[in-house]
Amino acid sequence: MTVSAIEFTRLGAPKLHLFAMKCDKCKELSPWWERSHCYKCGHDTLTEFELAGKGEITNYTVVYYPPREFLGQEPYVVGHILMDEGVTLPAPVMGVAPDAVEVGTRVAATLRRMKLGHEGDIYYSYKFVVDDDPAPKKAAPARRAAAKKPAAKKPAAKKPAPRRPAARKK
Amino acid sequence: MATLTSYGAYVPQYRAPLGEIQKFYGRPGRPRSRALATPSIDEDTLTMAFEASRDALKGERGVGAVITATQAPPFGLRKMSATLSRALRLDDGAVHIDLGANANGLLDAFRIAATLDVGPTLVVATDHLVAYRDRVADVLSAGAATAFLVDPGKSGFATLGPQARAADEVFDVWLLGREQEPRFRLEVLFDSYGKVTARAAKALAAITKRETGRYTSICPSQPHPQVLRSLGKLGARPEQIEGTSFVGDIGNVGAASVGLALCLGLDASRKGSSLLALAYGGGEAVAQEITVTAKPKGIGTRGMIDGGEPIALGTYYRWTEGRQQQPH
Ligand SMILES: [Zn+2]
Repeated sequence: MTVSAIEFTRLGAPKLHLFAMKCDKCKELSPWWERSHCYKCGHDTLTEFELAGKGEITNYTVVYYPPREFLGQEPYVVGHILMDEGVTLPAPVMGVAPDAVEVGTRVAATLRRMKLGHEGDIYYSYKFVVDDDPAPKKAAPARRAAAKKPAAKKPAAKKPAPRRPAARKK
Repeated sequence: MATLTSYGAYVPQYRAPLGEIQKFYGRPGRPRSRALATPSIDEDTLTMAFEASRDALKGERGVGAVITATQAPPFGLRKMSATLSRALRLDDGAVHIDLGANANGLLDAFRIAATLDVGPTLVVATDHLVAYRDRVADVLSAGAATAFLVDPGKSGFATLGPQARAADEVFDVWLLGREQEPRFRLEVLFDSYGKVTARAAKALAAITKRETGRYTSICPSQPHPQVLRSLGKLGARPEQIEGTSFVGDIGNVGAASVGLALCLGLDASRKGSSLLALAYGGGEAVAQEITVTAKPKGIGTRGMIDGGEPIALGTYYRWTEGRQQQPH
């Protein structure tokens, strides 16, 4: 999913796009990195499937001590994002303070610098920001409702978290 | 005649304290801006261009050309326009043009877009000058991006009218050989701001038969005092510039400047409004008439400028000066 400016053309595959892998047989969506094995039926042919870029946070963690490529961005939120298409992806959630992030918040994908490589090479990828237009799709896939259940133990989100910066003022 | 069918803007969320920044870099004088709109550590001209373009495109993918104007591309070889196009999932076969631009770039791009025969063209101006070379040029440098969809055939909400240009010979910012420190002679640039802009505006009036004082709004890339003085001599009124000024709020956003002024002008426009786009950079000025033929759906540009969260000097330093050295 991430790619550096240098590797850009060498890798060939479209990396600046937000996509999931769709099983040619059972049509189940798997995360982007799963290129040869369907999570549901085990079929070995999957095709890139474009995601619309909207979803909601079903779980999250806050990173205070990041890997070196991510240094300078801390503290930052990494969420499990249940996309409206039904697939769950892990991704950073920006523009929301660690103490303000909430499960159930609607988020939208945007292009950002993900990290700097060991030679300072820029890796772009999709991150998420709190959705300014948080109305969920009318016809949510059935999978979405089912996948929401495991998160039921978490305190129910009353409203989307306010858009607060993660910027430190030091 | 080419028309604008859509537009979008992106102003980053964070605001850096210009007064403290000037003190830190030993720049004298009163800060000419309340704060600097500053991209986050994970944003750059490409990601800002992506945001502005996505707003302008609204899902439209039938774009025949992408033209980007910036003074701060993230890559040396890879085209900004082609990379942006790819991120937006536009057609790989579209024409991709990069303009290594000063503040004139957007109006140059409008001119090119009007002559291309490839259907709608996405014209994007995005900037954030933070390199050592740029800092000499302007400590006011902030970040923003604007995007416009130009259609030579379809009737949009505004018509891109004629352009006029004027130029002076000026010194600039330059490097000798492998010197790390740039040399510059900017007083000559500032002198010519007013002169050349006024000459371009006058030349445009000769073409359009519309005096400078008779536009609904004037959208200058930077309302520099010398520019305002010479526009005043041409009959410009303060209320023509009030609604389109932003440099005093968020700083100078380079190639995106005239775009942001245009977004402000378009947001406030109605059917029949006339805008005078004025861009100045590196000794050349470009003036263009834009006529609004249908009230556009505004994008809330003023809200983007007025919003924002303050950050400390240290955060600004870490995000700009030190950003390339972060991993080590
Ligand atoms: Zn399957």
